[in-house]
Amino acid sequence: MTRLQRAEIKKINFSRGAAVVMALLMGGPALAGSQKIGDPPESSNMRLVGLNDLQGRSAYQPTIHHQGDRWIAYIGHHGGTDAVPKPVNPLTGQSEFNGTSIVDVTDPAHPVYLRHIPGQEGTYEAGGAQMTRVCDGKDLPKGDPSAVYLLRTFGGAAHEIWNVADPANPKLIIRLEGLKDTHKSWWECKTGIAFLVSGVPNWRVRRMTEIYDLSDPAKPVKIREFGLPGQEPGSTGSVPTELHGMISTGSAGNRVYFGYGTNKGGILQIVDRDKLISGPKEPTPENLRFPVIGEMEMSPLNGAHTTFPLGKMAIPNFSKDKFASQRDIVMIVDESLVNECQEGEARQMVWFVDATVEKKPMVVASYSVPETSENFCERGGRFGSHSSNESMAPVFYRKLAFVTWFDAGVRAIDIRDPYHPKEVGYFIPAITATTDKRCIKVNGQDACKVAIQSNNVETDERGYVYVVDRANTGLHILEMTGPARAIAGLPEN
Amino acid sequence: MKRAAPLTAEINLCRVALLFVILACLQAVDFAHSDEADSIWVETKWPFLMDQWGEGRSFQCKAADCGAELDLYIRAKIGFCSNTTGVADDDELERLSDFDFMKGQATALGSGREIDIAGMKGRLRAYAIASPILSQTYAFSVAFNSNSDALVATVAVKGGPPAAMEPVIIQFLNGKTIRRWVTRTLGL
Repeated sequence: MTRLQRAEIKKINFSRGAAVVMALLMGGPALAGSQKIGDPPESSNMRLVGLNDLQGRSAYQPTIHHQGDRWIAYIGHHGGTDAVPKPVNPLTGQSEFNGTSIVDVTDPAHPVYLRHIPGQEGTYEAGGAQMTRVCDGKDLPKGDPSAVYLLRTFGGAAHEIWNVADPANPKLIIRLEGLKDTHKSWWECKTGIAFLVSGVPNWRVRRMTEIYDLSDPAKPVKIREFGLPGQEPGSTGSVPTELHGMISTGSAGNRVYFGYGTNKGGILQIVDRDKLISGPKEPTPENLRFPVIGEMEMSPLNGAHTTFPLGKMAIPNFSKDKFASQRDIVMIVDESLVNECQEGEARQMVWFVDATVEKKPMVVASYSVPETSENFCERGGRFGSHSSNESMAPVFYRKLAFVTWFDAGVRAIDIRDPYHPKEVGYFIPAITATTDKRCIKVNGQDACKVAIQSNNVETDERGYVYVVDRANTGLHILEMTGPARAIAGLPEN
Repeated sequence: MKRAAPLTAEINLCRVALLFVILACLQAVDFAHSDEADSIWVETKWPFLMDQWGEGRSFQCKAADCGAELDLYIRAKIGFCSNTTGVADDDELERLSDFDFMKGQATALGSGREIDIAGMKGRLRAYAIASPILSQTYAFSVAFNSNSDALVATVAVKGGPPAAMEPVIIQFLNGKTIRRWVTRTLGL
């Protein structure tokens, strides 16, 4: 047991005692489930290893990169808040618009904040630099072998590429700008092909796909624009659901899984990558359909924020079947947008899709956090899924999936049988003095609560889980314990 | 009687003054917000199947009252609008619009224009509707927003011309019925 863990346990015991004393002083127990500063984190089969407050910035996407003999976390941020639009960077003493945090997590118990790269001016979703992807120059076909490249968004207006070979001193290489709403892109490090979530003017949606050859990041070459028919310039009538993001399986897998919609009108689109890159490029309805293999329209009540391909999986219950005992599985994660389960949104959750017959994918299972056990709808902020880890490293791939659930923290799901996924662990970080409030309107007045808002999660090859908070609480580095750890094949801790 | 004449004059003066006060008060009342402006619209049953945005409210105004038969459908699209730019242009208006409610192929009749509805900024655009089963009709799409929440109205027009219908539609959207509903729906 490390000093940090002992300190954490002492803190938990002290906090429990303090909570009992407070409850007695207040004349009764606190509202079940609500979080208070000083409360311990809530967990099952997951344990806190280390944390960093990320300078109190609202966090979106973390990418964990093995960089030489170090492990570096690149974490995207939303813009600041109304109260603190431009937080102070203690490293520089300057107020800086939220951008990208660079944290050395080589020792996960003692993460070291290296650098903050400021992002676009603006608060909440209007500013910051939400997305991060990282490729080594030595992997890219025409990259500088000594470079490490960070691809990030700059607010909604641009994509940027930085050289982060020295992560404490990043250098801007290029900016692709003039866009309406950039978001969560995908970059193949072996080929350099990048699928950028952009908003090209004249397209009828804020987010669509630009495909670039970034094999030489200093000289981007645009290949084409892509989207659903009806979104392209000049089309009329209803505008199909706009893009959220995509994941490519590269030239070997030859598939790109596009997810359209966040919390509504979800569409999973399975695309032939070669045809997408090499096919006719003019964005006509015919050309946009040309590379498409299959599409699945979800219930309009749910979106497709993350479409994570799990590839071919042996289904335990089909093991004796002579035909189709292996299934091609895609995990879809919706995004909840609405605070405290209010009007305008149905429950957002996780769906498992059997895409063995790619033209006709079908949902075969779902997973959702039980709400009533902890009154998650009333804790504050959003309750529902947001995103999963996207690492395909063997330690967790096809075994455990991690999904952030806003006020319900991060959930660990045993996906070895994707027809019957089950929760095997969770971690809900404690709130701190920097955790921001979330409000709903009650009789025209703001009614605000402070609750954790676990937003994104990523894993590394070592088996650490990195969860970041939308409500400014920072980065929590976790490890699995007990039976959940055994599923990953990790040694006992 | 000599003394009565000035008294009568004073009373008449008071009456005139009172009339002016009443008129001034009446002028101060914004008719666009009055129930009277809404009374020619009759609420009808929501006619569409459930979709991702759920049900809204549906109203009809007869041709005798509005100059053409108008069917207005309005509903909230929570979290679907940019809270920084709002309904900034026709692209954003069309992204928000319920074209399926127009019952035919919609062709824009020129660019949209900015409007103020219930104290919020928005945009309105007119369309010609081509349908194999209906005679030539028109439609309007109207969207306005409060932060990231959008309110989207679709108006089907039987008869025309559509330009003459715009003030009637805007007046109703600014009326008490819609204002109350917007306040309740968005929790304002």
